[in-house]
Amino acid sequence: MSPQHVDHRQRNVDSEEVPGVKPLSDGLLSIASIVGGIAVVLYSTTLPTPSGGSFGPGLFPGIVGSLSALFGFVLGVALLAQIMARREDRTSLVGEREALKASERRGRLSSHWWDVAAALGAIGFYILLADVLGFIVTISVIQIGLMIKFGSKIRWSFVIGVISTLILYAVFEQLLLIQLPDGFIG
Amino acid sequence: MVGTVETILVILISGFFGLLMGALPGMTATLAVALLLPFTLFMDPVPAIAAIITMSAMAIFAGDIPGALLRIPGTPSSAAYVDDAYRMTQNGKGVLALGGGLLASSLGGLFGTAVLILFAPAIGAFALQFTSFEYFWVAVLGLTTAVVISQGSQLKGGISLMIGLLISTVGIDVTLGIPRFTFGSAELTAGISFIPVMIGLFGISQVMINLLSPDSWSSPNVSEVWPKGSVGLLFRSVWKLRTRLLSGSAIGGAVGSLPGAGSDIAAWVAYAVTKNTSKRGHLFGRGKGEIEPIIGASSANNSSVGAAYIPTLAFGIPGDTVTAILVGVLLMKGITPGPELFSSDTSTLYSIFILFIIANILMVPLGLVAIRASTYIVNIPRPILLTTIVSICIVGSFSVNNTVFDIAIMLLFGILGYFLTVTKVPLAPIVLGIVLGPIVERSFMQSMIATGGDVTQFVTRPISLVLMCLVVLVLMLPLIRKVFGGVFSGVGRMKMRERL
Repeated sequence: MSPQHVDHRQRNVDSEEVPGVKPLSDGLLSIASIVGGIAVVLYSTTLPTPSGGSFGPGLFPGIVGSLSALFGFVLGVALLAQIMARREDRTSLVGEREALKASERRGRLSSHWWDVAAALGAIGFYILLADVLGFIVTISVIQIGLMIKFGSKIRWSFVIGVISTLILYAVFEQLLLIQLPDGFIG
Repeated sequence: MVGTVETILVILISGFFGLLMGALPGMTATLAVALLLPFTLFMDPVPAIAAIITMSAMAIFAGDIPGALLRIPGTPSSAAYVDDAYRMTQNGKGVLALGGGLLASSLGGLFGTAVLILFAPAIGAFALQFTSFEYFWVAVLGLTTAVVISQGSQLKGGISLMIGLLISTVGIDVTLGIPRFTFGSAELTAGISFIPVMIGLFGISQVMINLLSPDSWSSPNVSEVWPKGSVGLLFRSVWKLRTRLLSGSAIGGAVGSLPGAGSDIAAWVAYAVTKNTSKRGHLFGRGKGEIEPIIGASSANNSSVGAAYIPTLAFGIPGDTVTAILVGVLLMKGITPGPELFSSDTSTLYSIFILFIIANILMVPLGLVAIRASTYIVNIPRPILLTTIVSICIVGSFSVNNTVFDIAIMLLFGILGYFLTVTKVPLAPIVLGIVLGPIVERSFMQSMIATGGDVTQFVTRPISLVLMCLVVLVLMLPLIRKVFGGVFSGVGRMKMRERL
């Protein structure tokens, strides 16, 4: 393994840096915090206040909402200042290089988003169909389907998918006595 | 209570689980604890605590394994000395890097436990004098520290904290029993369940992150870790560096006991101090790698694990993310961490002390097995691992209330956790917000009702005033860092270097 290759992988799993993904704009976070904060403040004003008292159930959410909006606003201002400073510094060459790299990365990432969609879809699949199909069938389908989607060989996916489902069933239903959905099997 | 078959089995199983999760690149100790939560729900309090303590201690050590083999820190706590560990392994000294880290982790962990046993009862006795005013400030101190020392931007830490506090307000309000943010939903009336939120934030979001980094899936070509005749050399090397081990442990004990500080910060501070005070400091992270920083930082990160329980047990204020989750579990079990633990529930308290000692001693044999098996662990196929994690997340969330509503909550928070991570918003303050939110609100409202709305009591009572000054001091920490630089700037530079 070349040192360059190792370096690349280290960056990828860094807990702070999300692997290969261009961070979403701080602007969105700022707007979400401001809008969310204001919504919380408005909602908290609709909560009743005890007669004769000035501190009701809306006080704490009101403070939280106000602080959220404030943090979002300060973040937005800081971001604007940063953008202004960068505009002055940035050379066109660096900008072009960054744009090229970002476009390459986007191309590579688009296919992996389907894996993420499959994983999240599998959770939705369980929410919608577990009561009908039952735990064993639903989780088996999820396990096998996801393993194949993520690149495992089909034969191994079936074997490991069924075995791991039965282990999960044994641990949760038999050992921890959780009533998992039975579905049509009954 | 500690000597029961159930507890011993739980310790062994969670120990192996912690080693496995810690040794897998990209899997964190917090993720491991989040996956363990559904199981703790069905355990008695002591085995549940045993599972979390053993697993977090093992996972933090095991984070050294992929660091030494692949230069990928298994947990953020191992990032400080990853270069040295990797270089040593490449030069045929893997057993020295990993074994040295293991012994230092175990001894550091025992040191942290000693700090916990010595200081927690004294601080707990002091905390018996606290009223709702002081509890308010202690909780605010915990929240403020979590934001100020959070990785990345403090503003984002603040936003993260507000999300956590907001989650804690959903359901029936603590003073008048009026439903808030329920929007007519019966499920939301009881509040948002803690476990699905944790599983979503740390489990599902981590799966998404791993799916988007398939480069880390390929089978690694790892170096030989365990050449014959190297165990004797290992013990001699650690003995030679006993002073470094002691200083690292002391730093871990001090940093860990700060509310909101975690083992990764302890490791970075110890690394910086070791580098600045060692004659061979200029060689750290270069050439063939050095064992000295590994000993210093490893002992610090595990020492901090025990010390983080001081604020948790004495005030009910979590020291880091894992202890925040533990507080959540204890509250679910009907145990309120805080001064009462020292007067009325001493059996639980002493069980925690004993469990720490057992976990840190057990770390050596289990860790040696993990080192020998390390080449196999890091080769576990990612498709199988990630798929199984998704299934455990689903079943784990479902098992809390036997409802798919909690799975939907997990899904929602998984997506939120991913996007927050992408925007570099730290997740730890959310956990602290959820756990400490009700304490802050309850103590504030109780104080207000008791004094008829007189807020001056918050600043005129002597202990309250001291605590408020501490909060102000913590808020000024970024400014102090800029002015004084020193050790903190060293840590900052190294963190920066790691991120580049």
